[in-house]
Amino acid sequence: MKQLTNTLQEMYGLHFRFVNEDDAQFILKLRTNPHLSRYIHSTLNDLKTQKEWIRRYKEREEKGEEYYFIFFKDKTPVGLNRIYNIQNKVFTTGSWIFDKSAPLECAVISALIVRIVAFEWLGMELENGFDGCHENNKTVLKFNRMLGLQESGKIIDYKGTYITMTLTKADFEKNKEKFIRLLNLE
Amino acid sequence: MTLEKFIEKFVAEFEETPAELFTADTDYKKLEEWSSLTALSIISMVDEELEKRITGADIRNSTTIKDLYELSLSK
Repeated sequence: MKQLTNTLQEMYGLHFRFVNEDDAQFILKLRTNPHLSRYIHSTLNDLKTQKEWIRRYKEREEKGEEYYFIFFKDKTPVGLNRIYNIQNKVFTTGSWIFDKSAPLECAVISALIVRIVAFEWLGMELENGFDGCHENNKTVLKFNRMLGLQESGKIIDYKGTYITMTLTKADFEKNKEKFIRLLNLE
Repeated sequence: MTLEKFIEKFVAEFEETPAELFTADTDYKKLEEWSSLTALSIISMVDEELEKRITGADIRNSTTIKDLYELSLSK
């Protein structure tokens, strides 16, 4: 099983590493973009607050509870994705956001990478999207179903209704090959 | 598959954009809804409906729906 280390790694032409405080400005740029952040939790547009959040995240990273990745294409930062709530071989993915100018394969490849890391490198058995995907975020819901996620329930908060979903390792492995073929990653 | 049928299938991959905005000459990457996930859906649709494999580069190199249709058929 491959080890997850705090170094720059490469898979399918994308480089990735854990975020650090130096990435705060890039994270803010994406997370405060009104179009990109329509369906994610609100972020205060304040560099100091973001750096403080990253400092607290680093403590969770150290404990193996959470991994927040920044992705690079040709040395340019293009997006973010996160594995969190890691416990008892169950995890959640989220904070998935990519710059509109990134080559179109990057976001999808990052979605594969975080699950390969979770299921194959960290030995997780189930993805539990307990906090859900907004019901109006139809493109992501459709993508999730393509990836093999299955609906497990609904939650309602002030921003509307969110669909919770789960993904087993077996279903991911079954569907991963289709993505690799469609994206010409063989 | 005819161009008209291809456009019909293409439109079905979008969730929010009104169908009347799509013609053979639509510069589809300029549509507000366009994203990498839509691109993946289009690649998948071409794979299933035309049994042709197009790539991200093919999408980058096409402008209109007609361009992509012709490029797909040439594979």
